[in-house]
Amino acid sequence: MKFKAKYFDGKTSQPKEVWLKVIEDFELQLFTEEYSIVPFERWELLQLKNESFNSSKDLQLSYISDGVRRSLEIENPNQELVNYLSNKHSKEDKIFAMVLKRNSYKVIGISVTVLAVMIFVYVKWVSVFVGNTIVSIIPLAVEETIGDNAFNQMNPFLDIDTPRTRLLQEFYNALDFNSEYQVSVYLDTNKRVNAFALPGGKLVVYDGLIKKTQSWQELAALFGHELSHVNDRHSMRLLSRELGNYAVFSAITGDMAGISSVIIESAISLNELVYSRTYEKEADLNGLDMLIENDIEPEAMLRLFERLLEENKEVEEILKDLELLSTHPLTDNRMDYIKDYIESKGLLGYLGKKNEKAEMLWKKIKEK
Amino acid sequence: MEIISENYEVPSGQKTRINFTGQGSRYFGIAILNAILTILTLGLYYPWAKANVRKYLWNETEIKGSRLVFNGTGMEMFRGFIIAYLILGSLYIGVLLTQGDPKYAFYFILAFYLGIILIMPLAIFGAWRYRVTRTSWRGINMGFDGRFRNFLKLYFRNLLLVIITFGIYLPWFRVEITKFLFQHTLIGQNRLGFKGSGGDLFIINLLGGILSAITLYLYVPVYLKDRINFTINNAYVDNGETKKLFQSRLTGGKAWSIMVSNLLLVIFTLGIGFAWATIRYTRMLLESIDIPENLDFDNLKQSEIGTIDATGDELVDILDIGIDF
Repeated sequence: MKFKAKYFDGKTSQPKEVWLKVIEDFELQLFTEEYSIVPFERWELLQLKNESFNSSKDLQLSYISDGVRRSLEIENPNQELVNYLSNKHSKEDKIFAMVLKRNSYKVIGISVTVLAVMIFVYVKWVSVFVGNTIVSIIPLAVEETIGDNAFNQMNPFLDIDTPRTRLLQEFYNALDFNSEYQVSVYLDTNKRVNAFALPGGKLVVYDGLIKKTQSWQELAALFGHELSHVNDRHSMRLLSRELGNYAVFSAITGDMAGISSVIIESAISLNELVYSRTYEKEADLNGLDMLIENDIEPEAMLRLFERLLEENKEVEEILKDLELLSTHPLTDNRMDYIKDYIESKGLLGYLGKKNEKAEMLWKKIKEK
Repeated sequence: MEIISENYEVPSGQKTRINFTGQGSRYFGIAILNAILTILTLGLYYPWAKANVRKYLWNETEIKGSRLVFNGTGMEMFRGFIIAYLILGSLYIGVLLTQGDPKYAFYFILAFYLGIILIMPLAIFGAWRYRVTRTSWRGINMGFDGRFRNFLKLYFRNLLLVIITFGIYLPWFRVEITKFLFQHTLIGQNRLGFKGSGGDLFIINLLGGILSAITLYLYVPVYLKDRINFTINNAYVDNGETKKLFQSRLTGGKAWSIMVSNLLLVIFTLGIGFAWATIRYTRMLLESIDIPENLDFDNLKQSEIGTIDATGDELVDILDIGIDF
């Protein structure tokens, strides 16, 4: 059976009405009249290119012969041709054809669900894995460089007390903590009760926090916590995961609307907060291990958080209602698991060894 | 080229319109599958995803009963995608690593900004050329015969003026670029052209900016409509004998209702409505265009330059990519 189509010879846009006949698995014959016997062109089915992509209307085919691309527009293709084309699809086209052919809302619903599950899996596990993998191949030197750069950029806003920094470094050295990194500590005269760690081993402690400590062990506990952030490469992990997420989501949403990417991104950053709480907990417990390994009173960690609690009482009250949004575990909560951990090691009330050098240095630093 | 305004004719009599038959649900289906495949391949599928979207949108654009065809492939775009990422990525990493070291940092930052400045004209030129030469209708490829060297000269000459005038020259800069791109675009034996003036665009931008600020952004869709119409109404077809203008029927009211409802649609469906929004926007844009009748639809001839790799501009060939703006 022949069927009608519009033919273009690839030289002009002049449409020509032609009749087509499919010779099974072999060729498409083009006739000028419905009852012509001799085709004026024969197109090998194998070389046929389907130019339509999920379009709602007619089928468009093209065929290159003698270096000229001819094309056909077929409004009502016969079943034989349609079957042939759908069998010939590449794997990728097949997936699209299968899902899109019926174009039903059920199919779309399933796809949306699959996508949602994939995004969930990605954010929950894949991105963690990718982040960790990237981190594991980044050499220490690169990490140190990034940390140094960050420190240099912050430097104008820091107020480093050089003589006391020297003492603090001696104090840190006296603790003899274990790290692959070359750790340098800095003392900032700021009154805030806080401290932070940069990738590659730079630790900055604010004077406000030092003034709050009541024993050298508490300051050691603080270093235990911050050093764990460095040893476990927390900032690098966060950074690589964020980069990974950004790359994937901008790739997906690139051609879509900006708004959906904003929505997705804010969902990710909410998730990021939860992740950094996980990191804080990890740092607390690894910091505790560090104290225990070095025979330092583990309960100092507990007391350190008591000081923080005193300082942040008001803030904590507010945060309690907003637990989801806080980057750090709430201090109450924190003290609970720290206590549980020490108890599980059977070390409640254990005072550890004496470290006269550290104690002397701590006193000096605090007094000045 | 000396242009006298009387040469242009506004379309009269038989008008040819574009019929856009895209459907939000079909577009959504494609976008969802694209997203799934892009995730599964950790982003590598992106160029193919883009080709799918374009093939679909081109396929649904009908002029005189025939549909456009997008001949580009994901593989072609993948090449450009990798090159662009490698260039920008390595420069960026260089900047990141040397930030703390003033000795090298300076050179890397310089290279980074130079890279960006150099890549912009490549991207504008490459993206336009790629789209144009990969579009065909009734078997006739659209053609592009601009030389990158000339574009680069034009680009930097005008960029310099933008810098000297602290940005005031920007509308003129845009118009010059549009002129270049249009005048080297061929539809069969016909050439596109653009006769807009930077002054008009400047006034549109100035008014649009002021009114948008006063009305708390409610005026933005009308301003965008003015910009769209500026482009369409100043574009023309030159068939060698006459130059006739395209005409836009897009009104402020229409633009406003489509853009505002699209925004609400996307927000209230948490982004899922983007497919329908894109289709509605594309329909608004395409269906408002009147094509001048001096474009002889039934007798377009395949131009020599129309064939895909005849331009021979290797520098741009490596960046023959579909960068979007």
